Amino acid sequence: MAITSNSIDILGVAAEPIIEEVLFQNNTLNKGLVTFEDDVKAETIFTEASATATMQQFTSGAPTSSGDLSSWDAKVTPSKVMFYQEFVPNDLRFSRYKRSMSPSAWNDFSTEFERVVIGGIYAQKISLSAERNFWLGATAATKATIAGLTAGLPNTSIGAEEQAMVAASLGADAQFDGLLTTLLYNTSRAGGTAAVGERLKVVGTTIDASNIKAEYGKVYTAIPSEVLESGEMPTFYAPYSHRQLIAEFNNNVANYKDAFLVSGDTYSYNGIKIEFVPFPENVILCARKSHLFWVTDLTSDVNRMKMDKIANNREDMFLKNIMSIGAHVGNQKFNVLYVG
Amino acid sequence: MIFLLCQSLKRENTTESMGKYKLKDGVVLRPYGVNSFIDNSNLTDTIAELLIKKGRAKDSDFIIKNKLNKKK
Repeated sequence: MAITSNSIDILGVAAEPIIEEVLFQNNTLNKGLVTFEDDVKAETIFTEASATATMQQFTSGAPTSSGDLSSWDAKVTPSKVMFYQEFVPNDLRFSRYKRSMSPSAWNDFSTEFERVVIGGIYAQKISLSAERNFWLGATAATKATIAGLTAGLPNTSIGAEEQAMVAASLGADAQFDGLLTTLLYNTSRAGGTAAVGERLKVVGTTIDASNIKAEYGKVYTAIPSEVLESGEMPTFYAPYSHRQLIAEFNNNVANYKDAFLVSGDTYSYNGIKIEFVPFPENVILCARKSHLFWVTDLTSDVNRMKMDKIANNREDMFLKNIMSIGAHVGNQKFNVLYVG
Repeated sequence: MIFLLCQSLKRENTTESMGKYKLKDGVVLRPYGVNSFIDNSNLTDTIAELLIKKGRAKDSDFIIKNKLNKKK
């Protein structure tokens, strides 16, 4: 594909710097918002175990076995995906980028274009796409399966809100099932049967600046007590827009104190940190980071790009990025999913 | 005449395979923000009723075929 360059002939000087597109940061990778399970080529086994200990009356005779010991495996294989684009450096010969092309007609590659557009914007778009697909990805087959389920109120059923959210918002590039899809429908159970996820379902509403505290309160109340008792604290994963809604809610002179604590870039509610991710509106997840897995071969694959001539006798070039990516959810029954 | 009558009765007892709700031409819903998308390709009756109930869609967004879906 040729480079789309609507440039003008440079007669004077070009302003510095180039105005780059404003992009979100891939905080999931940069801030490590989930657990990265790397060195996974294919078929990684995630094992979960649980036990029930039952006290019983002492007997000096033959005792009766009581309680339960169980363990089961889930097999997770990341999907191998790629980004590929071809371009013709010569297309930029009349643009501002000619200033960073070395002398000689042989040289038409601009180091400025490489730095700003390829290494800057395009590479970051790949990173954002990986993040977006990680959270929102869903294959057409899984979307169809979820659409065909009978919606119901029990936790074992898909919720009508969840079904609508999947239809309207999940899919991304449809290469694999991302985290939200996996939360709602997966094979992570003994026997590996595909079924509705065991997440704790909270039915929500449209969140705005006036009710955001009440809605976070619903999620907080649904967190199992043992999750908050000790060890790793869970995290609220929320859409980017909540940053603004929280600011608006807190900016109320009638409030005795801020319901949401904001310190620099750190947001929290009732002592639980809030992280902003590319979620659909009216969706909140509360889970321990150690329950959410980004499964991949090598995490840094996201940032690695190969660029070369398409063939030795040609002057057009290619850009290629290859990665493997998948999502897995552990300890499902301790994760709260709010969908409004 | 009898044949036509039978055909007419048969039609009335049959639930149409299409859903009750269909979005009007040009109407697209974005119930979960700007990146969400509902059109007739992914609309179901459950979703339509939910979105109306939650105020994210209006009756007037849809062609509602409730009168055709009668069963005996």
